[in-house]
Amino acid sequence: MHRYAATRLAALLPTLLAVSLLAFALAEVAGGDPAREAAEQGGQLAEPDLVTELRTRWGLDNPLPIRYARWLSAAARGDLGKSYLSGRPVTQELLGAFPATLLLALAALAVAAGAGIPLGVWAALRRDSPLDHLSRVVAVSFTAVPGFWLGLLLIALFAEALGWLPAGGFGLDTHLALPALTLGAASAATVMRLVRSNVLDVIALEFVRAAHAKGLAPGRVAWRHILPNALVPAVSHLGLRFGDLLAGAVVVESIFAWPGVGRIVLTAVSGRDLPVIAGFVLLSGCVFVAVNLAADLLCAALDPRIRLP
Amino acid sequence: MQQAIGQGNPCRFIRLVGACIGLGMAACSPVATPQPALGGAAPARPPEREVVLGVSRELANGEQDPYFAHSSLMVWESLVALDDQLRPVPQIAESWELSPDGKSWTFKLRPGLRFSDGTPLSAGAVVANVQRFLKLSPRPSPFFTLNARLAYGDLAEVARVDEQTVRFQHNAPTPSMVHTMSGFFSAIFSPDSFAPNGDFTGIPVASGPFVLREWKKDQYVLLERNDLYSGQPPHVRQIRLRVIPDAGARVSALLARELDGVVELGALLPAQAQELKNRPGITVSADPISISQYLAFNTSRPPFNLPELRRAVALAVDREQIVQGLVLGFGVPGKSLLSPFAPQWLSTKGEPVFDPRKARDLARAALGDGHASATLAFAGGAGQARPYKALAELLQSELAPLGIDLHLLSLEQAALNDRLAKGDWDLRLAQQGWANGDPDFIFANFLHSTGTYNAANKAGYGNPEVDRLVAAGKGERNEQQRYAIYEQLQAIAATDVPVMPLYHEIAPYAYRDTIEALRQRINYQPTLDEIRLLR
Repeated sequence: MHRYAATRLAALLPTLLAVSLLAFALAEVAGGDPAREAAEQGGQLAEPDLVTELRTRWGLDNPLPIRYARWLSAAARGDLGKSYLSGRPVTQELLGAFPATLLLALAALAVAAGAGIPLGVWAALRRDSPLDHLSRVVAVSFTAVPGFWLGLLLIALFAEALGWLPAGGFGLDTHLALPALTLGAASAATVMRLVRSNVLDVIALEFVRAAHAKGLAPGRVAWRHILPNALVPAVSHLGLRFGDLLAGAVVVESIFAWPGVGRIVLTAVSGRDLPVIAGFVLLSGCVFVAVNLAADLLCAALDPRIRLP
Repeated sequence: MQQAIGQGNPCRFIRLVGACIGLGMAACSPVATPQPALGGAAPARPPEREVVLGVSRELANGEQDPYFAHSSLMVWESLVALDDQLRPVPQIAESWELSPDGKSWTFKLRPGLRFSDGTPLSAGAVVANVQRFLKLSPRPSPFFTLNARLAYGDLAEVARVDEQTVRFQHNAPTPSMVHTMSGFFSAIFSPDSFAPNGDFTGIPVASGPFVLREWKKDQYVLLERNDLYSGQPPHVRQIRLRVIPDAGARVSALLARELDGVVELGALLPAQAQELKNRPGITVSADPISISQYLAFNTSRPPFNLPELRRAVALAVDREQIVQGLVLGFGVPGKSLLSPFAPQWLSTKGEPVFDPRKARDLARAALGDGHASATLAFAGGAGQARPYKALAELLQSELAPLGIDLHLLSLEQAALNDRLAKGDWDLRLAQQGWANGDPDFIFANFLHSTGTYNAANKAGYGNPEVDRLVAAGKGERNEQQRYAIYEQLQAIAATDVPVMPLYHEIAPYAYRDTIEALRQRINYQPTLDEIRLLR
C-alpha cells in the first residue's frame, strides 16, 4: 500500500505540469486581453497607453512558451505571481479562500455519503415497497433539480419563512447546513441509487444466504457483510465526484455568500487573470489527486480482494 | 376521589402558601432602580447594536490596492469631492484657485483636520499622497484603476506652500484638474500608513467619518465611527457591510431579517424593487447614479458609416418604453450624451424624439429599397445585472421596419472586448459612468477622433469640428464659454449620432424599519454617515 501511494504521488508532478500547460494554452485560445480587462475595472475606459504599459509590465507581449517557462520557474520556487486584477499574491488569494471551498465540498461529500449510503441500504432492504419507489422518485428529482434553484428554495424555506437557518454567510455552525445540503443533494441521490443497486446484487450472493442460515441477526448481516461489499463502487464514485463538487461549489458559494475560491476563479476567468487561473489549476489538481488516492486506499481497506499494484 | 386543598398532602400545601407569600411580597415592594456604585457614574446603557447592510461586491481590496477601500466605505476623504450634481465641492480642501495662466492650482486645506489616529492632516500629508500616486501609477484596482496622468495631467511639481496650502504646477494649462482629481484620485491617507514602495502596511489610517476596524475578504467589512472626525459625526456606532453577490440571496437575507438594508451598486434588480414595495416593514427607494447606457455605432464601416441611417436609428428607438418596460421606471430616457443629473451642463438643443415615420423615411433615403445587415453585440452571461438581452431584442424589433436586420451577439466581456478591439462590430450596447462630472471626459473619450473609446474600439468616428471644440473646452476657464462649447458638442452628437444615449440609471435600494435616513449619492455611495438606528 505504501508503495502504491508513493507511486501515485510521484505521478502528481507530471499531471500538474500537463494541466498547467493546458490551462495556459486554453487561456491563449480563449482570447481576451488581460491588460485591458484589468484597466477597465470599475467601468473605466482603458487608455491605450496604459494598456500597453501593463502589457509590457506583465510580459504579455512575450510568446506563450516563454511566459509559461517563466511562470513554471517561479512556481517551482513557490511564487505563483500576483493577480492582474487585485494585485494580491496568488497564493494569498487562493490559500486564503480554498479552505472554505474544501470545507464546503467535504461537507457536501458527508451529506452525499451520510444520506446516500443509509438510504440506499434501507431502500434495497425494502425492495419494491411503496417507500422504495418513493425514495427512487425523490432521488431522481434531486438529480434533476439545478443546484442554484435548490439553494434559493432552501433559503426561501428555512431562512425566510421559518427563520431556522441563516440565509448565507460563513461559519462552521448552522451557516454550513444549507450550502452543504444544496451542493450534496444531487450526489446523495446518485449514491443512494448506486448503493441500492449494489446492495441488491450482493444480497443475491450465496455468502449472504449462508450468513442468514448461520443464524446471524439481519442487521448484523446487512452492516457487517452486505455493506462492505456494496460500498466499494460508491466510495470510488464519491472520490471521482469530489472534483465535481469542487467545481459545483462556485454556484453555491455565490448564492450563499460563502467566501470560497469559486468566486475568485470566476472573476479571474472572466477577467483573464492568468496567474490566478494557473494557480487554481495547480491547487485543484493537487487536491483532486490526493482525494482520489484516498478513495483508492479506502476501497482497498474495505475489500481485501482489491490488490493495489 | 378528589382531594380538596389542604387535605392529603400538608407539605404541598405549605409550599404553595409559601410561594404565594413570596409573590405577594415581591409585588408589594418598590421597583428596584439601578443605584450608582459608590463614587461612580450611572451604569452604562447597553451598547447600541451594529447596523448590518448587504452589498453586492467586495468594498475593500487590501494593502496593494491604491486606495485599500472603496469610497463607499467613507473611511477616507479626498481633496475634492463631488456633490449629487457632479459638481466639485470642498472636502479636505476648503477652497482652490487657478492661476491666470491656467498652469498652477493652489489648494487651501480646512484648518484643524486630523487623521483618525489624531495626527494632523497637513499639506505635507497631501504632497506625500500625491507623490505616492505618481509612483504607483498606473495600477489596476477593482474600484478605479489609478491613472495619475488622467488625474493630474502634465504635472511638473506638487509642493507644500505652508501647513495649509498645496500647489500643483503644470507644464500646460489644466483648468479641469479639479474635476479629474476628484474622488479616488485625490484620496488622502496618513503617510505613516504606506511603505516606501507605496503599498499600504496594513489597514490605512485616514480622515473619513468611519474607521475600517475589521475586514474579512469576501465576507464583510466592519466600520466604526471615527470619533475624531472633523465634520458631522455619524449617528451609528458600527456598521457591518456583508458581501452577498447573488441578488436573490441578498433579498432573502433582508427578508430573513439578517440585514437592515441592501445598498450600493447593484443592490436591487428593478423587478425585486417592485416586489419589495408591497412588503410591510420594508422601504424601497431609488436615487440617480452617474451610470448611463448607450447604443454605440461603428462608423468606420457599412451600414452605420451613413449618418442618415444613424439618425434614423435614433428616431426609431422608443427610450420611454425602454425605461418603463425594461427597467420598470428606474431610469430617465436618454436625451443627451451627458447625464441629466448634472443639469449645469445639459443642453436642450437637438434632443432626440421618437418618430418612427420619420425614421423610416430617413432609412429609405440612406438604403434605398435595400436592406442592411448588422450585428448588435453586448455583454451577456450569468451575473449580468442589466437587461441587455431584452434591450437588444427590443432594438431588433424597432429597427426591422427601417430595413435593418439585426443579428444579436451575446458575448462574455473579455470576448466582446476582443471583438471591439478588432473593429469587428456594427452596434454595441455600452455602459459608461461619469465619475468626475467633467463634460470633457465624455466628449474627449467618445467623440474626439483619437479618444479612448474611439481608439480602443475602432469606432472610426472623426469630425474636425468636434476635435476643435473638445480642445477648446479642455482649455477654457470661463464657465459660461465652456458651457457654450459643450452645448455645441451636444448638438453635433445629436446630429452625427456616433453614440446614442438610451437611458440614465436610477438605482433602487431597500431597508427595513429598523433604520432610517438611508439614501444613495450619485456615485452610488450609501449615506452611511446619515443612517439612524431605530431599533
